[in-house]
Amino acid sequence: MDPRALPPINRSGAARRFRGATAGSLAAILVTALLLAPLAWAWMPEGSAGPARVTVLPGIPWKTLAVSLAVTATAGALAVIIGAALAAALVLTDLPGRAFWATVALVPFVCPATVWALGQAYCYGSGGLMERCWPAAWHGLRAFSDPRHYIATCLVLAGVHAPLAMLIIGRGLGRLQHAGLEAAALFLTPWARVRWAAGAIRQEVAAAFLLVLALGLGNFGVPHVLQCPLYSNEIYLRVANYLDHAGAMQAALPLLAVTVAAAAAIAWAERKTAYVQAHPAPPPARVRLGRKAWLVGGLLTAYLAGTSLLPTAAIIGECRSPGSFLKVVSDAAEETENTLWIALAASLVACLAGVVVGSWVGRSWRVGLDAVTMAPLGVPALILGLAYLRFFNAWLPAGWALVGSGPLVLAMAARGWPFTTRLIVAARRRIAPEWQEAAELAGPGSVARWRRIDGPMILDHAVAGAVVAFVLAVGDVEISHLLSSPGSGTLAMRLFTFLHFGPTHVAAGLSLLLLALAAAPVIVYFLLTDRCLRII
Amino acid sequence: MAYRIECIDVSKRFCEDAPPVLKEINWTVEPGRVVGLVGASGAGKTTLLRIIAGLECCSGGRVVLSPQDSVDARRPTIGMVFQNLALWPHLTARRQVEYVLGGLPRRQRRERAATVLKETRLLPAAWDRRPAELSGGEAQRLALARALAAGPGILLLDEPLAQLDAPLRGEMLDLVTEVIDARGVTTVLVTHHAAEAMMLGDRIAVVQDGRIEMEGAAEEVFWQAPSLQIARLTGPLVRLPRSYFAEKLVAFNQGSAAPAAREWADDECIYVRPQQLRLVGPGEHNQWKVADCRPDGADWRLALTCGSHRIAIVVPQAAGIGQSVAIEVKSRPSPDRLLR
Repeated sequence: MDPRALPPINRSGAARRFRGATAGSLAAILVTALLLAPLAWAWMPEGSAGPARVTVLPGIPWKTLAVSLAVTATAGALAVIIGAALAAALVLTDLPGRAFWATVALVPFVCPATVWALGQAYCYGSGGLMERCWPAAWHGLRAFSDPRHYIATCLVLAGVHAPLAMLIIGRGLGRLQHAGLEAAALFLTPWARVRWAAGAIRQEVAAAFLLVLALGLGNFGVPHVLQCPLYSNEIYLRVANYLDHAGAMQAALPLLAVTVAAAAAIAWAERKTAYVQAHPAPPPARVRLGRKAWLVGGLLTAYLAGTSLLPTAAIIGECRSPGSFLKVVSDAAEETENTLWIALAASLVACLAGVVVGSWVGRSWRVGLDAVTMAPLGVPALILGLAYLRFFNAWLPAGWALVGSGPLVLAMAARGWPFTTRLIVAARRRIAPEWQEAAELAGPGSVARWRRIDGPMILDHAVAGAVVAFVLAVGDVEISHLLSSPGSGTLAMRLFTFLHFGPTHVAAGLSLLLLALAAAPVIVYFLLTDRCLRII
Repeated sequence: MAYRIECIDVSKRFCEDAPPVLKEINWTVEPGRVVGLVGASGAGKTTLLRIIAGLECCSGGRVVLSPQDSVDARRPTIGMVFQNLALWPHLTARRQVEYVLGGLPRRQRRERAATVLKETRLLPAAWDRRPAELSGGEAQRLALARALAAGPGILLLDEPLAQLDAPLRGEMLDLVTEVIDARGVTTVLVTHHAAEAMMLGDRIAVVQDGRIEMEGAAEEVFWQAPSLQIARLTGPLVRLPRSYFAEKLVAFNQGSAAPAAREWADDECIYVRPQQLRLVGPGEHNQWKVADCRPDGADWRLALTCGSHRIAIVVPQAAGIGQSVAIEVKSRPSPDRLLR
């Protein structure tokens, strides 16, 4: 038999990859289209099924938008400074217990924003913990406060988003090992070293700022709790007070344009920041702190006590007594159950969708594609909820009961999905092509390859994505407020109601319960698995 | 089972506008042979290797991998050691090898993995460590074990020793030679160290500008390189300006000042292998002074000066060499005297 008569056994590798890419891209586009279709639908001309406009509101409040931009940009800058300091301490130094510090530093982000803002108000606000402990000193400080609470909102927004900045900038600082950190330490003066490091991580700094800007602008919980008249409150007023969904969508356009542009710009800022090498590398050398570890540890403790511990203590203090808290818990049993299963389902859907889309997007470096997948990060939850509401109103005008909490779960998944996608993209880009080629040559099929090679490599990020989606869903007020079907109210909705109409101790009890549901499992899980630093 | 690798008119172009990386390569590696692919950086040797592995597709032509006995037409298992090793960072050494043996029952997989790891002399203490916890040599052994685990029909080595220091490289070369000889697997080694290829390979192929310019036995490639460029790729050369011969600072065999027609040369210089240089003891033409003499491994490196001229040559022993010497260039061995 002439060997040339054999079928050519060669060159199937690239062809196989191409087929995989096509199937993957189709799945990714399908998932994206499914999750974002309601958002596109929301601006379609209203049909007969659309809700009637009750009243005609004045035009777009540009001044409020400008103020919101200023407040959020300041919060973004603050968050970047705090995040950079935290990241530097955790990534570059040999500070003992770094995994613990990193996890605890995440608390402000994994805690629902409404609860977080409420905790800050109970602690630092009028009649709060600080005022009760040091009335004279605190009155003096509060004299500087502005009547519309712009400064407080700015500080709280910075605190909430500083952990995100820490994660992004921490990744950049980890990259310094490949950018000549040791050479810089040897040859540069301390000031020149700082300038060099800032230049080397400028892409991550820009990305962190843009992300905080996008998320902060769309944040509804913090300004609402702190009674700060930012733009997201304007939209909420049109929805809740005037039932003007179409008008709210129109008013949301400028905000959406800014937030989506900021989110899409993250892709541009972060282009080509990943550094992968398939050669086994030892763990990077860290700056030895020596006795300064006490100082750094003390500063970290002070920051975390001020932003996390004291506000939590203030919430606990507002609960009156353990018996009162347990009563609140037992009264909210149904909402707790609803919240948990809705959040679990939403995080699962978001994680699966994120893995599908992120695995595909992460294969290549296309800024345009990255921008498209980053853009949904900038969609405020309120607008997303409104869009889903209009979509399902149009398609299922009288069928809400039939689909139960389906739309709610989908909308919450759509909210968490961009975070999951982003994390998976980052993880996928840390997989060196040679690792995949070696796996492909080794022989086992694509399922085994995914199970043993690709899957474990993105597992940390997938879990982190699911956690983010879960936390967002547990603390969500905006979407559940609009999409909950009768009898499926969530804890955050109950808290929102009691914030306005109920006694303080019930709101504090619900806040504590939400905190325990959202943050505690995440913190315990991260501490046990030591995942936080690996995500950085 | 060993496979034959047959490249038929293989060409590769990474994009339409770019010049081709490989230009219609026709090349065959016989079953069980070990061939060293030598060339400068960017010559296209790694691209050719990746095309053989199926990691790149060729723009033109095809590669046929056919079994030795021409009966079994299954796709061959290809083992590859990557330049950066490409060890999966999350798997222990044992798991890396077991993954390659995925189709076998668990117990058999463990046994085979242990056998291969022992074959590549990776100490059992390292079997449960991850790549970041292995030393350079251990990682190299693991990469080789992984490539060999499935009993490949073809073994491809892409500059596998590039990141090792000299003693470890020698040790690994011995190991690779031993394992390949024992298994009789068709092997292609890509390297830019000609000496490595000559130690390991039955034959050497020299890649230049996307073409295989020469292929032959190690000695043939070393001595009979058809051009200066290829001679440079296949071993060290000593550069002798033509003026040295005119001024009788250096002489060819029997005192001839004229180089043989087949010497490697350009307009200004003649190039010879260090092995061609011979120091002639005290005599009438001893213009070269020994300025420096240092050990170079088992040999001696001499720095010779003559007026403003200075050359360095390596000799097997320094004893008996006077303060002034003459340099004579021996002829290259003729093709019929080379081992085939």
